[in-house]
Amino acid sequence: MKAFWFVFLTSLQNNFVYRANFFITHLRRLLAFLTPLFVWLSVFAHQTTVYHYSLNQLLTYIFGAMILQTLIFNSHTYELGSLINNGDLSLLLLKPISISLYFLSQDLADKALNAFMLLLEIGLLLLFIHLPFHLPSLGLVLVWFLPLFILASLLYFALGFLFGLVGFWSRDVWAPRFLFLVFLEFATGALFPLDMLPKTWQIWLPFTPFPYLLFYPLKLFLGQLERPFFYLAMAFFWLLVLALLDLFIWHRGMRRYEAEGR
Amino acid sequence: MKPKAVDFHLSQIYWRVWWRLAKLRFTEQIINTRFSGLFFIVGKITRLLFQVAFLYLLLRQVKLFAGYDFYQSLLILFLLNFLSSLIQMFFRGAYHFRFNLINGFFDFFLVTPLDELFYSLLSYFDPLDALLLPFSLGAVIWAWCRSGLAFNFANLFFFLFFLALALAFALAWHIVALALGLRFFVVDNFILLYRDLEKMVRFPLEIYSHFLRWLLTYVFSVAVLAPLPVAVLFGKRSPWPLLPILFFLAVFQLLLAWRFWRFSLRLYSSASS
Repeated sequence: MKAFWFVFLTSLQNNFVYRANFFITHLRRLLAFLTPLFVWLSVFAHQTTVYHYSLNQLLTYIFGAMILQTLIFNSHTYELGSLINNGDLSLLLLKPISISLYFLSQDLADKALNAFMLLLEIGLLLLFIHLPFHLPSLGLVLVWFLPLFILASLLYFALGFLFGLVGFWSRDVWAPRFLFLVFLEFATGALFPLDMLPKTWQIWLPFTPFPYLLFYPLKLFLGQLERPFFYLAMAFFWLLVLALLDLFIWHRGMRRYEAEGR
Repeated sequence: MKPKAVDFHLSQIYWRVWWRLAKLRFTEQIINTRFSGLFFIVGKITRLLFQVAFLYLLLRQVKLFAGYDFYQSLLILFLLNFLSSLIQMFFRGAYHFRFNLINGFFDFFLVTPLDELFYSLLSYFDPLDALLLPFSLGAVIWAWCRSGLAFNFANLFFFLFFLALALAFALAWHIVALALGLRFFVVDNFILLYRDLEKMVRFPLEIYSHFLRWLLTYVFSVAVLAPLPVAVLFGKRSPWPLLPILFFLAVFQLLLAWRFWRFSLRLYSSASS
């Protein structure tokens, strides 16, 4: 465990190597909050509900989506493809550590730093903009939301790992990931709540892994999700499926790996 | 002392070098990364379609979005998409500048007889954005027709004038990004900051507060990309004195960016070589 603690610490320190970059990254996040805020405020200027959402529910949803995106949608697994392609994966394979735990430790460091910075950013934003938010009970957060959030983070990790494994078969690792990220923004509900889509689309949603990353955790936060245990179980099921798929493809990929470039 | 691209002969040399490099990039893309190119194109079109879906869902609930109907809002979105592709097609070199700096490749630009800014900014033509341009332009023309806007001389003049202004502001921004890169290695994030500001103006400017509108128009000037031209074309905003102010602002920003680039270049220590 000590090795992973050092990976965690090194990853944390890496964020501060280029301090100007670090500053601009967080400035960009503040900007990202503004557009959806003004879009929805403009829509609510002439009506009190939009697709059964009140203003405070929708603002909670979009701000929640931004926060969850920051915490969930970041993973060092995007480096896996290039590590395979340039042969640098061998350096990790030679070390007595698990590859997935290595990436997970790096991810945890980023998530910890992001969570801390988010507190500052949201505090700063709320100083200037006073908005009504929907706040659920602490019990709901601890019992249902937190486990679903952890499962969502692991689901994203498993999906990211899967796309990194493309590197075993192709040198084009970034392009499929780009397409995946575009699709993810829509299918997870990051762009808008998925229950705004036509009913026929909504029937299929629970049977894909994507809404468990953002949409269902946020609906749970809003107190609009009946039978939360079902969604928790489904998220766990998808995590299991993806983890097994990762493992299977990893073993198949390792048979092809030639450390080309090293 | 490097020659300056002022006379006709030198301009021809720059054009020839750019054309040769663009052809090389095209060939490289087709030979090496055909499938990734396909993924990128599909990804960009899909992203645009999702944004259209978002606008559609919004305008199913409200008849007018900040005073704009569905097709007018689409025109803003499509115009921004077209200009964004155009800017990325020409200035893609900025995205590779940090890599060139860290690996010391930038020093090779310094020893060539042509300007180092030309190589840093324009030598990495993006063929994928070039392939997307006809599609993007077609979408603009379609939304233009559906929104009921006339194809007359005045409208085309305003459109082309704003297009030239948008390219000038984007050029200034990218030069500043490269100059900052020389000093702090922040090129990628600074360009992404520009892209974030671009995302802010895919909607009508009227949704924002007065202060943000002012910032987006006169400080960052990204409003020139889409919401301002559409507002002027639909008569929601008077072109006078907006156009002359923006013209002088573009010239001023370009000069300032150029001075900043020269200043940063003087401090460049070639530490990565």
